[in-house]
Amino acid sequence: MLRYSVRRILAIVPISLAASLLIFALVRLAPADPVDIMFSPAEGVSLNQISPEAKDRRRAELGLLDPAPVQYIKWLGRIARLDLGTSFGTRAPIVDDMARRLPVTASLGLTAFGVMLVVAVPLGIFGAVRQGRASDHGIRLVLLVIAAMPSFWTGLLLLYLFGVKWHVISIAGGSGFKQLILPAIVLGGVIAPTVARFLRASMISQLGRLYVVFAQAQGLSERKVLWRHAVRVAILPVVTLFGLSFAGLLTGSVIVESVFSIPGLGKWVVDAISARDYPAIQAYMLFAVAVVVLANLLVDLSYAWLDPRIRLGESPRG
Amino acid sequence: MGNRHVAKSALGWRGGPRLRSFAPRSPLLTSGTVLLGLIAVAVSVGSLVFSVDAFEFRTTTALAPPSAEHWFGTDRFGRDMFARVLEGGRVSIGTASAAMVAILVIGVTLGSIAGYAGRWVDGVIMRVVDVLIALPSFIVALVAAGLFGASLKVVLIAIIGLWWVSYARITRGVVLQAKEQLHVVAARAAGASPMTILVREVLPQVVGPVVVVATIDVGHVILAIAGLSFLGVGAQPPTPEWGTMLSEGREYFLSAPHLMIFPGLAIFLTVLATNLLGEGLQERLDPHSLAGRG
Amino acid sequence: MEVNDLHVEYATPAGSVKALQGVSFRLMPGETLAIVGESGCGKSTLARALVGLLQPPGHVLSGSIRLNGEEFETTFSGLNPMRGRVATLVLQDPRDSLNPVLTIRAQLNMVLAHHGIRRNKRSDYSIRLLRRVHLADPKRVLSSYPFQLSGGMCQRVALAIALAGDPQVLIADEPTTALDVQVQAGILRLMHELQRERRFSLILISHDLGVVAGACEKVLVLYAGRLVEYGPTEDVLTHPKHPYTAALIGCLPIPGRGLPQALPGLAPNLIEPPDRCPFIPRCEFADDVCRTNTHPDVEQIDSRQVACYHPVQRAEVVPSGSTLDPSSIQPGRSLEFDEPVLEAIDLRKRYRVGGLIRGTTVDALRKVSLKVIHGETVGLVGETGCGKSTLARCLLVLDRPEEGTVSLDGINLTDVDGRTLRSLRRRAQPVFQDARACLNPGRRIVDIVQEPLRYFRIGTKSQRRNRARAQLRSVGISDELHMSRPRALSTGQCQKVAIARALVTNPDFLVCDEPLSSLDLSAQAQVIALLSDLQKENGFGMLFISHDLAVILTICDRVVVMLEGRVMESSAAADIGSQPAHPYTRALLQSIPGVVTDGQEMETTKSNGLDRPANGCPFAGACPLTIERCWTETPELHDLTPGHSIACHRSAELQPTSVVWNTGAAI
Repeated sequence: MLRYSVRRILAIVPISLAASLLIFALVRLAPADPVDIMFSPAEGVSLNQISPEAKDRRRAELGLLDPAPVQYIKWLGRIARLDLGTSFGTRAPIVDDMARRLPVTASLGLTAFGVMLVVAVPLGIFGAVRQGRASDHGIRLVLLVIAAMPSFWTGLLLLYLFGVKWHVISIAGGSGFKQLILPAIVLGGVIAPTVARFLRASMISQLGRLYVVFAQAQGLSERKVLWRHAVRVAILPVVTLFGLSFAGLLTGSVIVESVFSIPGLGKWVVDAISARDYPAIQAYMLFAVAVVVLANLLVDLSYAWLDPRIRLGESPRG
Repeated sequence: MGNRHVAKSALGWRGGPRLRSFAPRSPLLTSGTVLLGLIAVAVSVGSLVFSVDAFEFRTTTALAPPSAEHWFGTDRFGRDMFARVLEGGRVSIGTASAAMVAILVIGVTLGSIAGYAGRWVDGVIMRVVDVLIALPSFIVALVAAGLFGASLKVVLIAIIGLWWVSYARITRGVVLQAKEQLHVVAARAAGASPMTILVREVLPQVVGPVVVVATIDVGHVILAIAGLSFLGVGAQPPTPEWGTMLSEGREYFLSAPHLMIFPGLAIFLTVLATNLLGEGLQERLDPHSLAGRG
Repeated sequence: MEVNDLHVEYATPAGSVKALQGVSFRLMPGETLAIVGESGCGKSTLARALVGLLQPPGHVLSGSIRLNGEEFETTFSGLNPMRGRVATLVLQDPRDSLNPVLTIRAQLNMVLAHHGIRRNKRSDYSIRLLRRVHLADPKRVLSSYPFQLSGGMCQRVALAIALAGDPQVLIADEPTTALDVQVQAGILRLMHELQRERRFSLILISHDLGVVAGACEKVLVLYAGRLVEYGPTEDVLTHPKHPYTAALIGCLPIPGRGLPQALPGLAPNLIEPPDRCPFIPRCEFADDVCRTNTHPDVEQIDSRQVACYHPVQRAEVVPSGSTLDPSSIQPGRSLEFDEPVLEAIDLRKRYRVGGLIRGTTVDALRKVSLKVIHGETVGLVGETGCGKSTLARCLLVLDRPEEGTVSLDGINLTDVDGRTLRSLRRRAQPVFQDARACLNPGRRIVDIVQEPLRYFRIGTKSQRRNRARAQLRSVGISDELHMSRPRALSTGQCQKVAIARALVTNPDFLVCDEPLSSLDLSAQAQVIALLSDLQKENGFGMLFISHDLAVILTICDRVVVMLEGRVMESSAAADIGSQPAHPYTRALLQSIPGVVTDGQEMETTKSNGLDRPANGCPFAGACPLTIERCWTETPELHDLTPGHSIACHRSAELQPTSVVWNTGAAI
């Protein structure tokens, strides 16, 4: 287990480096000149009024004239110091901007994750137990329908109903708890169907195993066999899906936050994109990749810890 | 030692070989096919039969609610929404299908090369996969559009460039598994060449799982493209793409809710159809494992 | 326990499958009843029906189940109290019977709690139970997970769990199928010991007549969901009255009796079967009485019950047991060629097992040499994991051995290029264990058989088809099946198709890797007869790999015994069967039910096979003759007499053994 953990943690180093290189390359390849953009909105002057020398000075200051590898190394160094640059728009350090918005997105994401668990776990287990019967088919259909609903559309519809028709929430947005409930439901709905279907399949395969029959044959009640035997095994592989869920939450938060006008990171990056705020876009990308890599790491480690077969090392002969 | 045999006798009647072919007809498969067929027909021939122009400006009837003349109402320029939804379907479904084909070609090719060649080739391809899998495709497409300018092309390249990864993984998995299957080993022992084995014994097995996942994924690609367009970085007006139309309609959210209802409904029904079809296919191909993607 | 006229059906879309039709029996306290039959005959269904655990869509149609005179409703909830007092062991796959992610302690506690044992007593109780099933270190076992235990240990744990409620009846479903012969013998001994001590009744479900013969007082034979014969074991097995029982016994491979008598045909389809004797199509005694009348009633004849209009009259079907006459095993065939068709010298193969994280290498083959002469059948016997399948793959160069050479008719296969190797493949072909898996499920069987000809570009398409059809007929696959796909065939038929494919290129050498172990007894006998006929006709050399020494001795000229990747003994089949030298070979023989050896006491001490020295004799941990040297030095293979070689440090001191095959007497 320890060796596994160390190896797994070390494995993210090359992946992170390669991913950061990709992000760096993407930004370098972008056609627009960052200096032009920096000057244009901020100085309030038109571009051709600025001398080429001034621009070059600015480039030198920004290190844009260094050879690419040097720039990359320096850039990595800055990231390591959590210096993500200054926003073109607000002129404030990007880290501060992000730090202010992160809690909003995080609480939205966590609430959505909770919503997902509340929906997916019972539906998955119940569907498996009732496999092939009407209730199972009903659940599967509901899950397919939820999976097909575009989050931006459901979001707008709910906003229309609850905001415009019934005035339960404000359509101007905000980050209070009441404002977060609906978005969290929408976001939870994005990731719930996959988890529920996976859990159902996992449960069905466990219910067909001999140990279930064996336990029943000892006289244990159906409920005990279900909850204390089958669910315990079936729930484990579902953990591996949580990594995927995090990527889904991240994606969904961008959409949901802009629909419900929630001042979180997702809305922030959409605004940054329309303002062509390069450092902010780049910073968000780094953040997203870090979240996915760390989530996967966490998932793998917790799975290994939860499943004794991995924790204690399955004997190769098994 | 003979576990397969034992497992079968445990179920008694399942030993009867002919029973498998009597799998019940799948309502999922039927409903998915019908729904998708209807949408495809409407979108492809609808604009030919239907005479109203999707691009014609008629400011007099701007923002009209649904009526007998304009089934889905009109937008702020008085353009007929029904015609625009049909036209948008061509863009949405067309681009998503094209993207899917590209994804499949790249993914299945690289996946089978990795699985079949093994050794360092496999190593290189899978390391690339490991890195790309850490990049959430929607976010990358969003960011790429932010950096390179908002356009459908940029978004598509980003989606294709990252989405093939999961198909490479699936294909590689199936190929690796197939390589160990006894009937493949038997073909090798009977003197089949590596190419014969790949084409005749291994690749046919890839088709099933890949088709299932791809069917469901077309829906996901439609959702992703529409979502990006909704955020303003995908298809640009006046292209009538479903996501773009929703984004346009959002401004008139209070006064003309029909502008957001119908394009959204179109996306929803299309994705639902691919989901139904995909799940139905999965049921048909492998009734005993209904595992989701993962 | 009393079961009366039990009917079980599975309602499937194709029609209702009558899995059990009118089965009745009585089980006395302390009695052992065997239920035997081939796969699909309903024996597992019966086991599950007795405790109300039929898998949907299976359900009991009619019939009654009584325990101590008290009748129970035959549903899941109706049989609830039954499950407390009647313990079922589902032991087919011992590992799968236990929850993979819970410790043994947790699993035992759950059952103990159900039986009302108080929390503070559970730990002591558990330890006592585990001791009772002879698990050496109960405390360690309690905190282990199933994957940390061997198959045999899991079996014992499952037995302990089943005993926790002190059941009156214990049902054991195929308790020995998934285990090696030696472990199997240990488990059977343990069950009898426990039965004597606790006086419960035992229902033993098995397809293996050998296991039944030594272990049970009464036997109930099922065919196609119907009781065909039921009575005292000895009477039924030595004087079978029902033609099916007689035929089944005839299918048993018994060394010295010649080839088993194949029972032709297949078990019938159970979807809406007609109310007639289901055995008619395969029965040599069937006549118009059988065909026109409904299914015969179960009648009492002498000591047992039989359902047949024409009970077998012959006094005795099989000869009673005797010392095996060496000459009766296989006539030492005078072989025309002395040249080996295949020769392997000093093969070594290592495998990496486990992932990158905690992988180790396992030596699958350590210097194995082997030779097969034209037209000869060499048997290779050994337990799971001894390297026999690896050897099969290395001989065909499907896996490359790390060291050593394999030559086919003098051509070294290990250093020819890929193209040459492929062209040589037509001369050496495999037959695998899992017959169904080795046929591509998407192809028609005639195409499967002609495929090798296509690879070698032999003949035109229609010529190839004709050749394939002829080959299929020669293995007994009739024309109407030629265009169907493998799933329409029984496992036995699949194996015949696989044999046809292997032989379609007229190979000189055939490797059969456990070709029988996925087959029912009657299909086994058919395949044995088929292989032996085809060999006589075509004269190929054959390596026949099996874990079952009885089968090997029935059909092979020479036998090679392997353990842990090493050859332990190699000799003529007659020698191995009548005067085995190596202690391991003797142990293997002894674990065949009904075989008695005399000479040096060979009761092995093998418990879980963990004591295997890295540098030494692999049998040292279990051998009664182990000396210091066995732990430190690997014995080399050397000749005991010409043609009889052995790898044992104490070969000089080994005393002659004689083997008595009592299997004949019991069966």
